[in-house]
Parts: sequence; C-alpha cells; structure tokens
Amino acid sequence: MTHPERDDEFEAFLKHRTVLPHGVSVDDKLEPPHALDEQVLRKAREAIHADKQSQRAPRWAMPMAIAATVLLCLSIALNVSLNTNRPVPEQQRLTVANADKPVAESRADDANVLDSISVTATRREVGDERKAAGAANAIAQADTGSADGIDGAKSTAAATGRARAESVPDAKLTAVRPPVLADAQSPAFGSVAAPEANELESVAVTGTRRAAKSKSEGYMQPAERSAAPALPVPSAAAPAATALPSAPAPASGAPAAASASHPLDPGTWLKQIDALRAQGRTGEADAEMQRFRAAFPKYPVKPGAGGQSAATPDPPAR
Amino acid sequence: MTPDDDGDLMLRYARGDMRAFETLYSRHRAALYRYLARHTRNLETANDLFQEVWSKVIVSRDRYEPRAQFRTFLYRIAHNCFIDHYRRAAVRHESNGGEDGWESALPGSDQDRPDTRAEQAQITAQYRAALAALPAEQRDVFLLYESGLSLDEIATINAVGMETAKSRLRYAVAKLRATLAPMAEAFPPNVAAMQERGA
Repeated sequence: MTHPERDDEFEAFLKHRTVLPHGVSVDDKLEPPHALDEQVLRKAREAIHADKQSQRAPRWAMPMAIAATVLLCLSIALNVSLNTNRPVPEQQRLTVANADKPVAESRADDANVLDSISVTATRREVGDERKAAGAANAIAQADTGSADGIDGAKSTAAATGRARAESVPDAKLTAVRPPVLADAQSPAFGSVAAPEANELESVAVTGTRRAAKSKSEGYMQPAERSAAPALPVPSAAAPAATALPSAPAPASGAPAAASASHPLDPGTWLKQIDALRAQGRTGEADAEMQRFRAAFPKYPVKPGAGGQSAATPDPPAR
Repeated sequence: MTPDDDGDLMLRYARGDMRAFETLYSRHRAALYRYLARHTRNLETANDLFQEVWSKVIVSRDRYEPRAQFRTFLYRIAHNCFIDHYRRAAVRHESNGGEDGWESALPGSDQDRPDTRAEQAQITAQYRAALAALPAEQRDVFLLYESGLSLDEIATINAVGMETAKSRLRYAVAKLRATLAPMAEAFPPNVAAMQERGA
C-alpha cells in the first residue's frame, strides 16, 4: 500500500526526472573531456579504415584471376581441338538401324563420314555382316556423288581404315573390294591408283571384309546389287577383275593387294584360274597364278598342274 | 532527433560513413558520460568506461540491427560495462574507496555567487550520499531515468519487467526525497528552472 503523498512525489519525479530541489542541478554541465572525444572519434575512424583495407582485394588477386582465366581458356581450346579430330565414342554406339538412314543422306560433311566409319566398326563388333556391307556400300555411293567433299573424308577414313586393318588378326581373311568402289573409278573419282582413293578403298574393304565373306557364299544385299552393276561375278567377272589396274603393293602387303583385286579364297581363286585355262586364256591364267603365288606363297598347289588342280585342303569337286 | 535517425546513423556508420558516427556521438556523449560519472562517482573510472562503451559500439557496428532504439542499445552496453566494472571493483575491494571530488570538475557559472556555490556543494554532497546509499539496481534505474530513458527502455536494459523497473524507481525516488527533503525546504522554487525542464 503506497502513501498518497508519495504517489504525488513519484508522479512529479516521473514528470521532471529529478529529485533535486528546484533550480538545483548537480552535474547538468558535466561533459566528457575533449581528449576523450578525440580518442573515441579516432578509434571509430581507424575501425572504418581497417574495414576498407580488409575489404580491398589483395594485390595478387587480379593477376592470379587473369592467369587462371587464360589457363582455363587454353585448356578448353586444346581439349576441343583434340577431340574434334577423332571419332566420338558415343558415335560408335549408334545402332545399325539409326545409322543406315542418315548415312546416305548426310554425306556432305566430314563429320558424317566419321560417323559412318564408326558405324562400320560397330557393325563389325555386333557381327551384323550384311548391314555392314550395306553401310559401306552407302559410303561409297555418297563418295561418288560428292567428289568435292570427299578429300577430307577419304583422308580421315584412310587413317581409320589403316588402323583397323592392322588390328585385324586374321591375315588370311580375304577382303573384297566393295562393288561400289569399282564404280568409283569413274573419271570424277580419279584413278584407283591414286593414294587417297586407295586409302578410302582400304577403309571400305576393311569395313566390309566380313561382308565379303558372305558375298563369297553367294549372298548379296539388294542395295548392293543395285548400287554395283559391275560387280564381278566369280565366273564371269574374272576378266573385269584382271582388267582392273592393280596398284603396286609392297612385299609385306601382298596379300592385302591381292585381296583387294580378288575377292575369293584360295580355293575359289584357283578355280577361276582353272576356268581361265579351260577357256584357253592361258596368259591371263598365268598372270593370275603369279598373283595368287604372291598372295598365298605357301598355299599348296599341285606342281606341274599350272594351277589346274590345286591340292587344296578342300579340293574343289571337278 | 528521432530514434530512427539514430538507428539510421548507426547503419550508415557501419557502411563507412564517419560523419554519421560523429553526429551520433555528439548526440549521446554528454548524457552517457553523466550516467557513468554518477554511477561510478569517479571521473577517471567514468572516462575509462565511457571509452569502453564507445569501443564496444564501434566494434558491434556490423552486428547492429535497428530493432530497438539506439539509445537503448547504447545504455545497455553502458549498463553491462558498469556491472563488469562493479564486479571487478568488488573483487579488488575498491568499490567504496574510489570516489573523487568529481563535482569540482563541473564548469562554474559566472553568475554563481560564493554563497550559492557553497549551498550547491552542500546539496550535491547530500545527493551523492543518498545516491550512493541506494541499492545498485535502484540506483541504476534512477540514473537511467534521469538520463532520459523511458521505463520501457530501462526494463529492457535491465532485463526485467516494466513493473519491476517502475517499482525500483519508486523506491529510489522515495529514499532520495527523504534524504533531500530538508534541502528542498531551504531552497525556494525556481520557476525558470522548472520551465526549462518542461514542467
């Protein structure tokens, strides 16, 4: 319980904020000394300067940032330039069905040539020989159609083809010149002996070796038949095959050279030679025999027979 | 002067505006110094605490948020500084021996006559004695209220309820009046001074 007088006094204090008698002031004029003011203001000023200095980037930050940016740009450019000269791994995973369509359509640029080569490799992996032959056929078709843009593709394909030919372990595998490449010896394409053409040819041959195997068994894709009207049939195509100018081949590459002009295995080849002899074309048969020897020097041939009856492990039934 | 101005000045100082701090300092320096001087009853200690308070204000400029008035923020720092000092002094057993004649530092008025000055000194001595006799909590509330803070702000600074703060203030005023009553009768009311205080 509070006293009424005290309440009045308290209310008066709340109003005037002093308990001192009227007109009396104890320390109303008390102020901090000037030196203390200076000290506080100097401290405040120093704190601001320290903030500005700490917010300022260090002296080495700008050169470091520039160097890092340049290094990053160079590494990106180098990476891009290196990756543009080799097939992208994803392209090799293209399915055969997807690859067949655009290959023939988008042959104008080199990148698509690389695509088709990669697709060929994929086909070899999956063992789809017939479609591989069709793709090679399509490549050759497009090549004959665009002679201007072929140079880059040929060089690239040659490199890829050589690499793949070296990686093929089966040296006895007889490769077949793609039928369309026979067409490619048109004037627009130039000479078959031209290095670029040979390289492209070897690539296509490499890509279609297994397809040739199926061809030797008598199978041919409809697309191939339509695209290759001059494909030499084993019996009747021997003259055409011999008429082709054969490119000079090194001794170590003789089988490859022979395989490039003769699509057959040794037994079939000997049969063709025998057929030539039977037709009385002895000179051609001898020339073929020489090429056969060069291609298969260790293949057993009955001596004195002149190749008429090859003592092959699997002698032909005559 | 509005509370928002003080908060805005503090924010501007936190962004690097030194002039804002100078304005802020000039507004609060005298009242804060008086509060500390009355509390400590020692000008040297008041100087140290005054510098410490402003140093803490400077350091905490980045963390300052104008949720309350800047004056509350400032006096809370001062209150805490004084409590720390009081604890340190209690440890050193110096709490009662550090007083000096701080009223002698006050600038004298040219109009003051010698007899008036002697009466003032007598009143001041009694006032100081009564103030020193108050419990610390009541003295603190009283000095904060004399410095111009509201009861709400005092409650915030002392971390107590507003009624508690008001009760402490009531007790402090009653004790001081009881001590100073004979002096009040000796001095006639000064109408000019009352008008000056806004009465």
